Amino acid sequence: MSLKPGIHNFRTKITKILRSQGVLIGLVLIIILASILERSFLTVSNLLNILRQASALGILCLGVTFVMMTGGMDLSVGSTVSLCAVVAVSIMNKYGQGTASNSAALLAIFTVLAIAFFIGVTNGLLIVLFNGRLGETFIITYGMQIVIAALALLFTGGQFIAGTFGTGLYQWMSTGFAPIILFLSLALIMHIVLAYTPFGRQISFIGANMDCARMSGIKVSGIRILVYGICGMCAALTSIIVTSRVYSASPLQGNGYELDAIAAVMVGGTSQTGGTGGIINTILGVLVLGVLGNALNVIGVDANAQLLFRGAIILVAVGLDMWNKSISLKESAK
Amino acid sequence: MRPLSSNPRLPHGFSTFVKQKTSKRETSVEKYILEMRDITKTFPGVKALDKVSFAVKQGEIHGLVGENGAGKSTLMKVLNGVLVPDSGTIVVDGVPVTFRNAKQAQACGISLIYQEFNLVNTLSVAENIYLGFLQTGRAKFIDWTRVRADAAHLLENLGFDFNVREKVQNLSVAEKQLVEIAKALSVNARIIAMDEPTSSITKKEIDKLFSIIRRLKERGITIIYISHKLDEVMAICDSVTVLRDGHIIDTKIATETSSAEIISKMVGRPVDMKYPRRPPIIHDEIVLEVRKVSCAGFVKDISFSLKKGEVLGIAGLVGSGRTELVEAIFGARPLQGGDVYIHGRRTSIRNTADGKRYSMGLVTEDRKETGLALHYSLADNIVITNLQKLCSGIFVNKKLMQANVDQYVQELGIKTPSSRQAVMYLSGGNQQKAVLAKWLFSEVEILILDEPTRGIDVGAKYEIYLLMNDLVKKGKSIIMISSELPEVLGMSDRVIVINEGRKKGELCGDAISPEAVMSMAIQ
Amino acid sequence: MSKIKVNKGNPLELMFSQTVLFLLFGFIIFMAIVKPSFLTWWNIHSILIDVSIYGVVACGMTILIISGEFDLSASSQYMWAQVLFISLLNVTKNPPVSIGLTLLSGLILGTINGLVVTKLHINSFITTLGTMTMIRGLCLVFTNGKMVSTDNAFIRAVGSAEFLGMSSFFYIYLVALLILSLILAATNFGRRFYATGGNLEVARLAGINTAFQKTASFSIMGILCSIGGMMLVAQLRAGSTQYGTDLSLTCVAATVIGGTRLSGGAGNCLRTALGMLVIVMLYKALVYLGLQAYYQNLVKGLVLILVVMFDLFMSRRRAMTR
Repeated sequence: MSLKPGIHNFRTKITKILRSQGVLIGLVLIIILASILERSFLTVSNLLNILRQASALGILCLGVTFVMMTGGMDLSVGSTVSLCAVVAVSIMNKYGQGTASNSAALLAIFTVLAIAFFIGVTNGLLIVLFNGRLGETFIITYGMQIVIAALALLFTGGQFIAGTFGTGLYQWMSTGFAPIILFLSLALIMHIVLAYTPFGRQISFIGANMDCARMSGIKVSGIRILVYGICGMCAALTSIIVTSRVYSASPLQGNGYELDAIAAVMVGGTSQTGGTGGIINTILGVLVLGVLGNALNVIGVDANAQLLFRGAIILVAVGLDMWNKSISLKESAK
Repeated sequence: MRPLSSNPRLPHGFSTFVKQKTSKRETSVEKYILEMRDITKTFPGVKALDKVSFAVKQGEIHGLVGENGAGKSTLMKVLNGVLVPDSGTIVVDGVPVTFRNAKQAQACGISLIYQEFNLVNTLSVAENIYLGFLQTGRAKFIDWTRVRADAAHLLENLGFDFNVREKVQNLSVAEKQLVEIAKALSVNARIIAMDEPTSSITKKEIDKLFSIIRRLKERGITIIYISHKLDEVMAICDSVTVLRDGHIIDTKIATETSSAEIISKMVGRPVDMKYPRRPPIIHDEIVLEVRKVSCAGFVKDISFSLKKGEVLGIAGLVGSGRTELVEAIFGARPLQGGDVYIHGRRTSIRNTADGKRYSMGLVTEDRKETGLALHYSLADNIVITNLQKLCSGIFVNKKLMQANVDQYVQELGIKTPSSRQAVMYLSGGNQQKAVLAKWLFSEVEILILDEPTRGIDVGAKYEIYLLMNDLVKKGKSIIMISSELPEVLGMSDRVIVINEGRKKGELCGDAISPEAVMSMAIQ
Repeated sequence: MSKIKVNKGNPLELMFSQTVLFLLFGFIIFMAIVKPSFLTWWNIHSILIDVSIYGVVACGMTILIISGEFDLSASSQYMWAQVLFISLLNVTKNPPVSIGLTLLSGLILGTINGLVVTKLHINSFITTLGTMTMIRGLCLVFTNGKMVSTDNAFIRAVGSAEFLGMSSFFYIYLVALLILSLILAATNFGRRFYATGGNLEVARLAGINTAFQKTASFSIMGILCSIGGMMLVAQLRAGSTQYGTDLSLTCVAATVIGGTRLSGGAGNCLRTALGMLVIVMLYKALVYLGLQAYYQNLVKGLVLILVVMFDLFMSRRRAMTR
């Protein structure tokens, strides 16, 4: 028994708030700090810019969230973005001149969606074939990352592809509110799927206890394969928005995206071991990383140093998750 | 109190001279090598041990009996330092001690041989015996010749000639047990506790084990023999302590008591109360028929059928292939051959989803690993088997879900503050009911129960039995696997016995007797 | 008296345990037929140099996998060692001090990995994914993404030294291999890695400090990454964040091809050396057959996937039969 119940209560209350709303508090703190350090941070145009940039990565994060909810991991999404980027821009350059631009855009989008779905399903198949666990998903998708990166480089012969296609639907994908709306509507759909449909609840359950899910008659393998496919398609959409914005494609376009995505998902609070978290968490995580990245840019931290932050953020996020778990375990012991 | 050594069950060839000598010593001083006083241990939702006091004399074989869930294993884990008791003291040789880990207990001369072996499968027999602390020679390098010779010597003393370089993963269960005993001797254990040592070995191997135990006793080592198999305990032990629901009921000299007396103490009520009766309600309709199924390495050509409203017991030792059999039928493991017929129609079941589609449900033997997602709520766990049932449109209807969950929580009498409670905080019995609720919610016709009462207290067991009776009354069919022979006998209409992956026989009606089942299970 | 029958194992198991030898000889014979010029002394020598540099780090990966852990950050640690070593050489002009400090840095980085894994109970994949990114960031900040080089006479001497026709690198590897093999096979410290990886709970109950063993395996990995990085510097007299990006996966592939199971508790460094020989020969053959660099990466990725699939397949077989 604590001698000072008042202080004790206050402390537990603070911990409780920190635990449940830590990400939100972090977000607000970063915004306040950045706007103090740099006036130009808190302007409408900059905030819109942040949202626009965060949206591209955000879509990828939605897919990664699904995979991580099942207790898996996908390190190949970065290269998938690269491959889709070069394929999409090549299609646009070839067929998307002048007025044909819109139909070419549709062709490009559906082609890369199909390619990425195929890549994802391949990931999934390799993983479920012999019932791989977290460790194996890491190594297998790491191998896929290298294979697909090589394919992207082979596709262009290592060359950077400049955009030469006409404006239209493809360009629209990254202008104004389009990417933000795309991200938020996709997030809404995926949130509903995850939280309110049998499919989504089975995804979470697989993450919570895969063996139990299998013994409960859930088609674990099928769902896992599908989830990797969905994750791939999200990568494809990300590649479209990114290439549309920069009006070009590099075979190294998506290098490191997988790290950003994993960091954002983990910061949001989706657990590495699966089963807890969700899309809302990921949206918050994406915003935190987006604002942080922009703030670092505005303040003038260079890209290399930001890599340091990214790694640290993954570790801090996981560390906090473990801390959170140990506290709830202690509470339950009482 | 009569001296222990006047026990007529002493090993053969034990000379009278030794007998007299021991008896003199025993009569002169009543020496307790180990006393556990007022040990209490609580787990979330369960008081596993309640002020347990337990004393063992130097050099005796002390039986510790009780039903599953009575607290035997918990008590031993406290003794062994793996669990720290909430209160109470342990006294060894008159000196109070506290153990924080197994190593400290070991240093005090206490070794525990677990039911699941504590061996590293990838390493050799010799290395496992001295795991992590191998004899070193010059310059801190391991003297492998010496290590192997010592290990071989230890095993030789037990009367066995082993290739100590063999990897443990290639050993049989009985051989692993020997390695465990050698491991305990290697650290000069004075007290060796054995947790259910005969649960998965053959009759012949049991005899061998008993001769080893007697040999250890000759060497002055004290044995605590934990089992729920009474005949074995009566055959080997000098004295017997009965544990029930976390309380010590009584300690008796083996020769001064009878199996019947011990049973009544273990059960705590007249035996016929233990398994609720049900009127015969078996229909003629055959719901499940299994023809010559095989499953690589575990099950060979097993056939049986299950009628509507019937409880079919599957008896056999742990590791006899019973779990693999039902997993294969349910679709959790590939069938290598044979067919499964449901309602007379041939099925092809390739995964558990197929099994569920054919209206089967499997309550697995390990509810914490494969039965429940422990940090998910009771409600989430119950509805996962049939989310479609709760759908309006493509969405899960939360109201409908709540109503359904409430219904099953009430029907099964699951004690929980709320259906939103994470199942890890429920007691073993309530967890088991939650697993059952999963399959009842899914409205399966054939319920397969693998060890449905393992590790739950007597009251909850009884409730599960009542529930089973209720289910067959409603026209469901049940297959039940259990290691507890009385349970299989008490609950089943028909029993099939499996031994080493093969069906050894089928018994029904009055032919079901413990002797008949055991002789088939361990021949 | 009972006697244990010696389990000979089935043919598949036997083939798996000897896969690395089959692969090695099969591959040599294949190359001897297709491109006899592949087996010239000059070529073999250069293969052995690569095997030596990567092999040092692969020893560390083997110990980690034996103790049931994993390190994705090996490639970043290796880069950092190159960058740090060159900078130290250029600043201090004192090889022994530079070597000492680089080793110390490796020890510290490895130990940090180990402490995060064991004390914060974070999965080693996630931990090393994080530290991999951080250390790479550190390298980039340090070098600004540019190549760094040195012209230290000592380093030049080590890099070009030969004994009995073999490069000094080969001997460094041999010494590391012998010491580590001896530790693993014949000391309690070494055997405890096996116990920890084979069955964590049992090892703990036997009184082994499993957290210490795991941390130690990461620390050893850190030191070996430093040695590997310094060897590369001696060979190229330069360091860059571009060198050795595929190190982690090559080491994992070599370890598993050598017969060390990803599930932990078994394996040894000598077999990993053979595995590394197979892998490096494969890579070199690809270059030799005139394949584009991108195809080489493709093959590297595929090899990794195949190797893991094979490992998974074997574990599953073991679980499904007995």
